[in-house]
Amino acid sequence: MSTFQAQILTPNGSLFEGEVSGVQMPGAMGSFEVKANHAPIVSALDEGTVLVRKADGDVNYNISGGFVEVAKNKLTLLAESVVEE
Amino acid sequence: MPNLRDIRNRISTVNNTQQITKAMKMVAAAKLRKAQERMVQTRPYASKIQDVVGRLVGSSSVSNPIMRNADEVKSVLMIVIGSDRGLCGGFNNNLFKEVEKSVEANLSDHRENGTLSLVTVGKKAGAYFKKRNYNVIESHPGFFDKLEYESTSELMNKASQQFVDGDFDEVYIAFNEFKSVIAQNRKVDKVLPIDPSEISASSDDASKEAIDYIFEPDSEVILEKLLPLHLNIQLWKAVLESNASEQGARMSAMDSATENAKDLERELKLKYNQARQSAITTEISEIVSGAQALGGN
Repeated sequence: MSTFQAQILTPNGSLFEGEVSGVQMPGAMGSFEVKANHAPIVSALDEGTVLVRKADGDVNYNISGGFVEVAKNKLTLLAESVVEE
Repeated sequence: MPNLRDIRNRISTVNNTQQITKAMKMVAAAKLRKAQERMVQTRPYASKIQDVVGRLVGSSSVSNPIMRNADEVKSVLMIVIGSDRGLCGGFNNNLFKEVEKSVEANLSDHRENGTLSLVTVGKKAGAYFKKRNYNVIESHPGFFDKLEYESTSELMNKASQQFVDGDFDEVYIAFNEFKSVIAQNRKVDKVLPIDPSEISASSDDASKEAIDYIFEPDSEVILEKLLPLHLNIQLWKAVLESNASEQGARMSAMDSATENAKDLERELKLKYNQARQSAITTEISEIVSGAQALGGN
């Protein structure tokens, strides 16, 4: 499966960085998932759970709302508070 | 003539002081390293936010409440970031003087009319401005004991809410910017209202290619949510910079204190030896003259 770079950034530093096959997020207009080669997008995120699909299993993060930017096959998620489940 | 025992006591006091200042320097150095690390960690987040905000602010003609520009500035809020502890040289005083100077220059009307409000961070800032009869509406002593992003965002959210409500028409942050370990830049920055040209200008150099983004739900909603985050990170950055500067200032202050103590100790040792020498000389000459007096008999 094709993968892409994802990064989760918080004011206290980078929480996750690596190759993923998909990231599911609580978008302001409903939950959605980004796969490889997604079109460039900037979306607001609501409070909820972010699901990161890594090669060695899925990881859940709870976020307090934030933003996601996808450009050139790189996903950057910005959130003020992120807690790994 | 100085008493031998007095000098000896002074030497040991100076020596003790020297040990304390040396230890404080070490502690400050360790804390400085940690503070610098935290500063570096916020950088990717901050630059990304800046990037997106710059792109949005430039492109959209949004009338966001946070972007409002008052025709007439009726009241001003200033957030002053000092330190909780002393013994850090001119760190606090230099900043406070700079604040007073810029108030004098730009906001003297507000100061006289009582429309200048202050929020102080750190014990020293609160004490200084309360004593000088500034209108300190909120003070946060002990802020640096538990330095967390949440506490700064709480502070900033409140300030931006007050700005949106019209309680304040301008918001400033005064802090020590970390230039290097031995040098701080005193800064009084205007954070609200947001100046769009400044943001887009500073994000220009960061590889700004025209990527055709999809905005979800739309750019206005995103900007509305993004601006508070942008403000929060500004304050957080200022607090971290100030924290690192404080440790740097303390380190150099304690370093020069140690040096001074060393000089003083050297001087005192010289004095002590001179006094000892002259005491011995006197003693010998007394013995010799005593023996001569006896031999004369």
